[in-house]
Amino acid sequence: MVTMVLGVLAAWAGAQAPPRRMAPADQVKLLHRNRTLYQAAVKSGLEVTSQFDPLERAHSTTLLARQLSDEIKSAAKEQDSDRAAELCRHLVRLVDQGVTPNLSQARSRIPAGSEAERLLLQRRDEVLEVLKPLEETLRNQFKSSKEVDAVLRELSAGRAKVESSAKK
Amino acid sequence: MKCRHVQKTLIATSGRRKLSPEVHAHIAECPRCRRWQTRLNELDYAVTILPVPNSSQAKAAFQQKLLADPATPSRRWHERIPGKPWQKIAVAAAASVVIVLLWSGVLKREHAPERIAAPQADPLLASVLQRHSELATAQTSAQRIRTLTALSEDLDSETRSLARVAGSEDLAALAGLYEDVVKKGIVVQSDEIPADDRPTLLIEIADRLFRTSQTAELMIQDVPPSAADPLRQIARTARDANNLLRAKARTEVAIQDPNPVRHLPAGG
Repeated sequence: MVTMVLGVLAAWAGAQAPPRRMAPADQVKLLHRNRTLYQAAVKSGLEVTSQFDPLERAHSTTLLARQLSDEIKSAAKEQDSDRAAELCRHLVRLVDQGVTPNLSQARSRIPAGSEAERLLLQRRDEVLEVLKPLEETLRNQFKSSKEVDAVLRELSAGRAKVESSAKK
Repeated sequence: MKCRHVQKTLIATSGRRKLSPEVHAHIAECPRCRRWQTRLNELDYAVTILPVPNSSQAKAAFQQKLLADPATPSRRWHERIPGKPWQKIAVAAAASVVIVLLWSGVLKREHAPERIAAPQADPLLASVLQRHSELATAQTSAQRIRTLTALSEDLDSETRSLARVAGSEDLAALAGLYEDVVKKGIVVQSDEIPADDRPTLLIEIADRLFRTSQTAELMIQDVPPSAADPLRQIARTARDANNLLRAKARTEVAIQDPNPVRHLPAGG
């Protein structure tokens, strides 16, 4: 009884407390490790601010997604499932919030069968070419990781959204 | 989303933690909530640099007292509760029910809707990528310049928070990114803002840059020499951009109204 009450209390207190602040040493490690990703994201972010065509913005964002994907593959090669899962979630969000809306916006303006549609489909395929091989790599490298399985489901859902965003 | 809700959320998630896209969207549009967020960030930072008194003597005295005290057997928890056995069981059962109810309430509140779980491991990476998505879908120059300003503040905040512990090369990289965002992003975008919105928006951004320059300047005297240069770079970049945006705002006011009755604030 005492154990149960204490257990419930501890769980409740854990849920109430704000997440712990990361130790400075860990922050420094992350800063060093992810420096090239910050640089890539800022460079690409500055690029998209000067682009007004949604297909150009989708393309720039896909190039950034590809860099993230390369980093995920490196993490997978090193069997670092935590990093692979973290970066993969970033990638899914980037595609979901940066690429898919631009493809959908372009789709709504482009008539079927036009030359512009060919470019739209090309932009869609570019991002699919980033997502599909990544799913395969993660499946092969992490055969029994629940976290990676969850990320793979998100990745697959993100890919489905990309596919439907270019459909008329 | 209402300001009150956003401000409560900001307090609840104070520190470098992930905010939902709805909260980000509201902050991007609401100067009041942005000021609130800036103040909280400053408070967060101030907490980390509060001096902590040396407790080693008190700790040693406490340990000595603890070791010197003879161990006294304590009664079991149910023996300490007054009353008959059935009354004790009733108290324990009531306490369990209250705890379970509280717990279920917490669970309901924590189920905030979010399409994809936000990764927590590196808050700066999460933030930089989130800003990228916002920039990739921004439809107006006002949205773009506000997002760029928020991105510059993320980079400045990270540089300051790690100034005492990170290597000079990493700090220089962050300061370089800060400069890129301000010069190639904010300053360039300032020319794209529609003339009607330009004075107000430019002054709003200039105020934020001014605060950044002041905070960085203040910190320079308080960090190791290896961190001083990156902070100096941030302060200089923010100060120059602040002056430039204010000059552009004044020019715009002069064009729109050759005899302005009211004057733009001279801040910075």
